[in-house]
Amino acid sequence: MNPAPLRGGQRDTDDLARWLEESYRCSFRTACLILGNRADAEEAVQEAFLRAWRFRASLGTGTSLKPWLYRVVVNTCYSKLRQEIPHRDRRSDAAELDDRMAASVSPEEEAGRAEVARDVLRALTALPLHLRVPVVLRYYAGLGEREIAVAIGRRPGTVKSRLHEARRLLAQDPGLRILAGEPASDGEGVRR
Amino acid sequence: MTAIDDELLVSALTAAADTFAVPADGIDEILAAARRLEDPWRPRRASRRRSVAPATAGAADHGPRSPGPDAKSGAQRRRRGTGRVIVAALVALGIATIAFGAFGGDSSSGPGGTLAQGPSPHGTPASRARSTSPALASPASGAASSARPSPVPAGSTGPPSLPSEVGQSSKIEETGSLALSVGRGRLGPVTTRLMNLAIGLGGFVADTQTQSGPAAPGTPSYGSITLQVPEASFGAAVAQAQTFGGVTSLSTKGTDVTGQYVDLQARIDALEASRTQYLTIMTKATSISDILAVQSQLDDLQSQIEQLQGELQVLDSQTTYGTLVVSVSEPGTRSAAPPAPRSGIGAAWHGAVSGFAAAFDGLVRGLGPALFVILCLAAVGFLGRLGWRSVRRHAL
Repeated sequence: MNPAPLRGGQRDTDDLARWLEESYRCSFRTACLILGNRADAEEAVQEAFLRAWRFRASLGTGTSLKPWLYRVVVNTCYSKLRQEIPHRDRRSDAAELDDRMAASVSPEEEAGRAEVARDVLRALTALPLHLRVPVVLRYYAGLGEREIAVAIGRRPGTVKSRLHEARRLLAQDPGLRILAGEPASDGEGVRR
Repeated sequence: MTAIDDELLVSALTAAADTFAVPADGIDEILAAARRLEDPWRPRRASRRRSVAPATAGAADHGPRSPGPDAKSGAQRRRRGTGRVIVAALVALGIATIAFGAFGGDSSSGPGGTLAQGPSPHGTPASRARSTSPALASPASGAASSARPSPVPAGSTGPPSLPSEVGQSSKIEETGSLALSVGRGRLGPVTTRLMNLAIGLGGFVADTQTQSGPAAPGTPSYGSITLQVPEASFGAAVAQAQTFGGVTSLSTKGTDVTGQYVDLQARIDALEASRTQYLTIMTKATSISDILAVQSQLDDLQSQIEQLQGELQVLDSQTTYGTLVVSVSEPGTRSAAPPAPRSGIGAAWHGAVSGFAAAFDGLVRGLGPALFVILCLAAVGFLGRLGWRSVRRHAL
């Protein structure tokens, strides 16, 4: 994803449209992986893009747009998790996952791929939020450590240690162990 | 521990993310919301989903909108945020008020002390005390502090007089303490001026204590002088004494002892009446035994009367003369430091006790301001965190 920078102060939405075309899909799925919920992710991304567009003038010329945009998305996801989602009557993660898979996976997709996706989502949801966000930004959005540091407002060293810890926890997940071709019985489940 | 491959994670996360279908009209909705931000009066397109545009539009979006769930939640969030800020401000204000009240309420405080308990115009409280900071200490205030309540003259519209016993004028015991800081070598002259002040006002010096540096000249010195001045001139004495140096602390106290005075007088009158009756009986006694018995009773009564009269005289003296204790110190002097033993185990013990007391005193004195500073910092931090979160929420 390499969105074109917006012209600061311009009041038309042409730039926003171009930006959305380039970034919306990846941002939406990043939010889905962070929040674990499609509806929340849709709201979060919508809010994030509008916020970013409103305050596009604050983006300096020397600032990289990609981590800045992901910072907006991540912050909006944090806000969703802190303020709104705890107040809702939510079902268990497993039920959410099953419903999401039933709704989003087409019948034509291979059963193995769906199973992999379910395991990955379950393992990802089990990760603490401060570890889940760097993992998603690193291995799905493709951000580097420095860009992740900008996106989450932490130092690159912190990002590195969090990624290491997240990989260690994910390696203990039985589903991912099977995916990696290892027996699932050795490791413990992902610490919740 | 098994390591997990980066490529495996990339492929796994990509596969998981691909299961989320991207909303077909998500981009259009965002663009529509952005256009509404640009033109708030543009009619809003009906949306089948909850739109966050109104919540994010903030003040810029004044267009027609239906009060949907998001609008409600946005308003609730804003109200919650505003409420938090208001609560935080009230907490900070309360802490500051309590802290300043605590600092100002110390009747024996030094600079910065304020009125501890205002003088009651009716004199209902048995005593009144005030502590004045140097900034507030002025001849006028000093004079005002000595203005004891008195019966209201005829035609006066002022406050009523003290509700003292009928037929008995008010008896007020005035005491005060004043700490002066004088220049180096000024202890002697100031002490002399204080003595002259007491004598000039019709009073006297009840006690004097000075302590000078024993060794090198210029060693800090300290002195304390107790002045007894007529009660009517007490305020003037306080006011003039303040001009002799820098006031570091001032505390005055007025106590209404009218009830105690009247009680003593009544007991004396009753005893004297009994003595008169015994004297009458004495004149009629014929036997030696009767005379001795009456004489014994008379001696007992006389002893009691003299004791009560002595107490009455002391009380009368205390109300006739106000007591002002003036502490005069030169720079660098610790006030009223007791002379320490020179050497030996006693000196070591005394030093240890003094050090412990000084450390404890410093700890207690420091805890108050430290607590106040901590509370203020906590309040400021809380407000700053709220503000920062609000700024971040609106900026991003």
